[in-house]
Amino acid sequence: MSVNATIAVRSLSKWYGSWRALRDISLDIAGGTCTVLCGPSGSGKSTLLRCLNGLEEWQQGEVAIGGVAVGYKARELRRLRRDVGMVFQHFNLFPHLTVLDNVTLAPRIVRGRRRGESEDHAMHLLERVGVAEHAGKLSSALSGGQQQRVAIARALAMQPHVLLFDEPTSALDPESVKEVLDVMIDLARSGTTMVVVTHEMGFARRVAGRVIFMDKGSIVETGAPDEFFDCPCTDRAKAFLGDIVNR
Amino acid sequence: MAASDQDMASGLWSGADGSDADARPQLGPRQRWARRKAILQQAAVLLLVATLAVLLVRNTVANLQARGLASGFDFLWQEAGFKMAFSLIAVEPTSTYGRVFLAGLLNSLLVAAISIVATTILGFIIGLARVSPSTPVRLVARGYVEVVRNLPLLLHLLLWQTVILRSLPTVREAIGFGDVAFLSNRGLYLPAPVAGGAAAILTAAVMAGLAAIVVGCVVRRRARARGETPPRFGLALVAGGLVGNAAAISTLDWQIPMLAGFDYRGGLKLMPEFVSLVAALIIYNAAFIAEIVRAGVQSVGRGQKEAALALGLSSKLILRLVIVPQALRVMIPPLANQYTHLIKASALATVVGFPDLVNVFLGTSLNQTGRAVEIVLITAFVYLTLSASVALATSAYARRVKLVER
Ligand SMILES: Nc1ncnc2c1ncn2[C@@H]1O[C@H](COP(=O)(O)OP(=O)(O)O)[C@@H](O)[C@H]1O
Ligand SMILES: [Mg+2]
Repeated sequence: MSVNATIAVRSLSKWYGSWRALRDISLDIAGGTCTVLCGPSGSGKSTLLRCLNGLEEWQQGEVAIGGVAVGYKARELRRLRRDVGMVFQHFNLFPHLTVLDNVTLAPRIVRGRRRGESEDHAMHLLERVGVAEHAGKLSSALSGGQQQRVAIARALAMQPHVLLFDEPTSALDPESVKEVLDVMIDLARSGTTMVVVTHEMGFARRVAGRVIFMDKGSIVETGAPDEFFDCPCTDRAKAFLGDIVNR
Repeated sequence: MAASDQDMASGLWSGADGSDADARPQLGPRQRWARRKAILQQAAVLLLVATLAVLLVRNTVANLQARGLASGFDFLWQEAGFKMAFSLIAVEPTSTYGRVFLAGLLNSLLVAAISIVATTILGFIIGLARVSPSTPVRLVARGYVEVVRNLPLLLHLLLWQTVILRSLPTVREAIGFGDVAFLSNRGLYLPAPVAGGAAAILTAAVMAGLAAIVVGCVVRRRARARGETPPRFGLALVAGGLVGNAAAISTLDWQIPMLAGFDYRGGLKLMPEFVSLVAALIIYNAAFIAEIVRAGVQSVGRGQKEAALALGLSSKLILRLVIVPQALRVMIPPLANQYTHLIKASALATVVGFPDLVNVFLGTSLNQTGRAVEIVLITAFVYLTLSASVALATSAYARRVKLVER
């Protein structure tokens, strides 16, 4: 990808009231790579991910994407979010719109594309994620796995430089998990910059350049997926991996 | 009935006509039983109500005859002998009670229509202000709701009546709005279109234009629902209808109120009673609609806003394209309720002396003719019809925006 999609996080700290959710996080992610974030529930993965596109505000530190600081003014945030897509655990499709309208809404409204043009692009994306035949249905009529693939198409329709995934498969049944992961693997191989919160080891081993392990709001360990999963350095990572393997 | 029940239980029935094992039976046994039970219950209720109605009518008619009072609906064709202070159709002392009824009904409909549209707009503005991110805006909206909805409607009405009647300037010093509309303590004067000889043709043209717009919109929506690009003639119909209507309306002659002697002449004069009734209805109901809007907006999950934010949409657009369309689904039943309430409350017109249906028909006409049963029945029928129309319209809308829930 020609655009500069590097992500830089410097000494990021965030408190919810008096609870410190992120402790002094520093992180660099190169453009065109896939990074997996994992760690126990409540360790701050979602919070960190949501800081990257400014859905959360923070008290200390800086975040920059493509060399541009993630600001706090509504206009700056809107400009940033055009280029940073996000996929949520519970899909968050717009249930009152058809699948096609879900995908074309932002390109038409935010990028000012014409309807015909954005619908052609949307159909192409729906084809790619394998739900094109449902384009005319209300999005709420689809199964979980189908909805999540539409959500990915919706994010892709904005042609973002960076894609953020927050546990995209943890609300899905095993068969749907595979469908969604296949789409994500395809995306990662095509060189999209991705940050993925997931516990899917198979996915991480196949396409992730790096795994970041978080616990209690800090980054505890980072490494290549095979090294991290086969012989983690820290006790906390060992305990965590033991838990998810034995589950 | 009992025989077929036994057949069903012994399984003879399903064997008799169940030649194709895969064919879905029309109804299962439980559905069949439920349907039969429903029919029986409805028949029993209907019978009871009909018996009561017959008894009531016979009794009343007998009583009226015993006292030598006339009954029947013939009075509708008799001369009423009074004038109405405000009416959309001409009412003279020689007009019939039927015409008085029609004029009163039109007045009630005018009050209801204007109030419903305006109170919905005002209620939406205040309801959205209730959930605004700005604290002062939220506080002002909250103050409005708390004060307005906790005062009786009657108090609003009397307040507006005194405010408008006492504090507005006289006709000579009327407040002008761009020299076309005027407000004084005698009422609100608005420009009105003059119905010339071509009125019928013009009305037909406007109707045709509206029909073209509706058909065009439906064609486009259908096409989009099928995932096709809408055909060009759909857009052409909408544009043609809009242009045609604009042209038709621009040919209208607008009569502007002019000061002549002690009052304005020409145009439409809305009496102060009308203005205060409508103002009270709008302001009072807006407080309740604001609460309905707030509840509706808050019923839409946080994830919806976050997903829209993450796509780069602005807060305003998120509200309009994502939150409000979903909130509307929750808001429809309580909104319908509020509209019905408003229509019924408009009968308070009598308090300020505005000649609505209740005032001229249930009031003056009943006093003069003594046909209490007939007039009460007609009036009740009108209100039931209005409420049913609101229910029909809103449930049609609800069906259109219904989601598939999984
Ligand atoms: N809105 C919030 N208010 C208060 N505490 C929160 C909020 N969101 C998250 N937290 C807390 O912050 C911590 C990190 O949360 P989160 O980032 O969602 O964890 P993860 O995604 O790793 O499971 C948790 O302890 C959680 O309870
Ligand atoms: Mg999380």
